[in-house]
Amino acid sequence: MDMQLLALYAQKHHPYRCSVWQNVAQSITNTTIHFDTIAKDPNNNYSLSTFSYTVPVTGFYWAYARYILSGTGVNTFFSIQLNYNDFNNNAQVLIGEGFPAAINAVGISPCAFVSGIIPCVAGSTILAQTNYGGAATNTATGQNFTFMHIQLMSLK
Amino acid sequence: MDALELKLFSEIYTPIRASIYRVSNQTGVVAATVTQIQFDTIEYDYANIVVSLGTVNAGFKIPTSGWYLISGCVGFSMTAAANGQSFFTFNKNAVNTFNNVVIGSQMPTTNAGGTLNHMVGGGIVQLNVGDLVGAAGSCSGTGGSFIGGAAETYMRIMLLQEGLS
Repeated sequence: MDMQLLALYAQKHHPYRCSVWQNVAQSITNTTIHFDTIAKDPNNNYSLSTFSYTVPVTGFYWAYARYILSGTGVNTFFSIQLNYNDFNNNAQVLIGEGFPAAINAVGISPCAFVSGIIPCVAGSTILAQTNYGGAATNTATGQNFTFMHIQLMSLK
Repeated sequence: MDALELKLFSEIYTPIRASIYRVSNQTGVVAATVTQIQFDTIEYDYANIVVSLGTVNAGFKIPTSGWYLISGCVGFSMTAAANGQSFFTFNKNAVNTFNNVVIGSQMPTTNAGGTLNHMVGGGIVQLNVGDLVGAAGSCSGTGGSFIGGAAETYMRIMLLQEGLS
């Protein structure tokens, strides 16, 4: 295996991914979600101070984020989005799904999620933001409830 | 570079990646009627696989059989308040039917028409060379519009691995 192929092999088995989740409940309205615990981040690109992932190389990433509300439901609509910068370094959003929080009133914790392919430029950040029009409400915490996963799928 | 190296190289640097979106609202979505989404703008298209922009057959023409990653979002606005649901699917070939669904999502419309619905879908699918991948949606209640905008109604695709085995 020559050096060029070795480099390609290394890219295919790259460390550009992270898995983070929320351990401490957060009172949210329209705000950045505080994923405060790192499960995986082999290249050290996630910041626990800004709760964002700094894109290490320009490429196509797959991202998936979700949060759940634990407070008493109110009759409003809530959702989630991912903020990132595209190949032209312009700010973009990946809009996610949300549901009426009133679902909570019948005992089901409402959940919002977002997933998809995002073209990101190196140096920009990816973070998750809530869109919630009701009174401040707590998130439900846990590795399986409120989390974000990011993975480089291909170089540009 | 031997055959194995060439295969690895081609898998990493495949140019088969594309993204299209609807730039303006697409009105006239009639309740209980499948409406094809007329994507009309390219965000990026490295392998020239985008076809029929601005028409009911707008989508991706698959150049190589393989495993593909598809994701997207459809923004939907109800004409008036109604309890019901809206949904969309990414389909292949006969885009205006739902017998070839590959990915889809649905949303309740209990938001009484005042807030946009965003239906998000994504997943890995097998596609054959020549397949056409497009999108369609529908709703119950009063009908409405697909919302225009690069972040509102779009579809993205990328080849993960060649071959169907």
